[in-house]
Amino acid sequence: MSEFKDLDPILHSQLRLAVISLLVSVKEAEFTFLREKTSSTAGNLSVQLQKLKEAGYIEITKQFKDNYPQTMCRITKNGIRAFEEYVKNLSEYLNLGK
Amino acid sequence: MEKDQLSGTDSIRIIEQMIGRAKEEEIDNGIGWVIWGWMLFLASIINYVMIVMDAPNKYIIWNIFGIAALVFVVYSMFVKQFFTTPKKPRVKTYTNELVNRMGIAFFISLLVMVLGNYLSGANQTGVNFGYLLLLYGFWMYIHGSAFRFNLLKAGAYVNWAGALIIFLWYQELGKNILLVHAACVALGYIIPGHIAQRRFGMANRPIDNSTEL
Repeated sequence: MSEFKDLDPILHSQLRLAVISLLVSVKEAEFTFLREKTSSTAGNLSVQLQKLKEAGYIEITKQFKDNYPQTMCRITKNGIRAFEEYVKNLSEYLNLGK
Repeated sequence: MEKDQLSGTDSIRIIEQMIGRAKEEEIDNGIGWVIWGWMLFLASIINYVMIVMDAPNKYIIWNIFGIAALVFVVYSMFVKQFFTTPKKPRVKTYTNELVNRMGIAFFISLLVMVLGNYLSGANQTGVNFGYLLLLYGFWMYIHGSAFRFNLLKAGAYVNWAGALIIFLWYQELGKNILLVHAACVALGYIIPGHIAQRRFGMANRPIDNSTEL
């Protein structure tokens, strides 16, 4: 059996999956929120966010709040669809494994 | 490029863990309930004492309360979200947004009810306090359900019971309606508010970062 053949490679990564799972639960979240919740480093998180953005799964907006830069992330419709598909394929795989 | 060797159970664990962590943000800080509750409680008690003492301008406290309430509501709508302040760092949840809008709807309904009573002169019997308790209960029940805060839901039942008592016995109760109102506010707003504040403080501690991703 070929493991995870049908799983989206963009989402099938610990940090990217964690980020998408967080963003699917909230409306939008600040970069620091994602960093705290995923216990990741800023550098690694930035790289993974960029990959999710390039895949069209998230939107990133940079703004200033109280003179401090603020990076906000939000899941897109494509991202929600991809996450749903990932969960569906994952549950199918897990059922096959039983 | 990282090569993640994720198993199916790893993926499920990550998804569950992150959704759980996001839910931690949907927590009531209790400050709004405490401020609003104490304002209502003090206004009721002061009004009651002034009636007992037969003081002049017995009801002036409600004028002061009205101005203070308006300032509080406008401030909480446009400056600081007292009723659903998310923990730092910033995140917007769908629950917070919905509950904030419901809070606005509550205050508009309250304002219309109080103004309507005042302008029409229909507030002579004190029965309008029953309608106010009904409205408080409505807000508490939905807010408590959204934030999975059962004490607030229990407060809603107390307020609905208080409303029923006022509707059934408003003539016998007379000025004691104010005490019923104050008791319902204390049980429905103030006590759950202080408990929510404590719960929020505990939840606001740094999270366990033992799972490095």
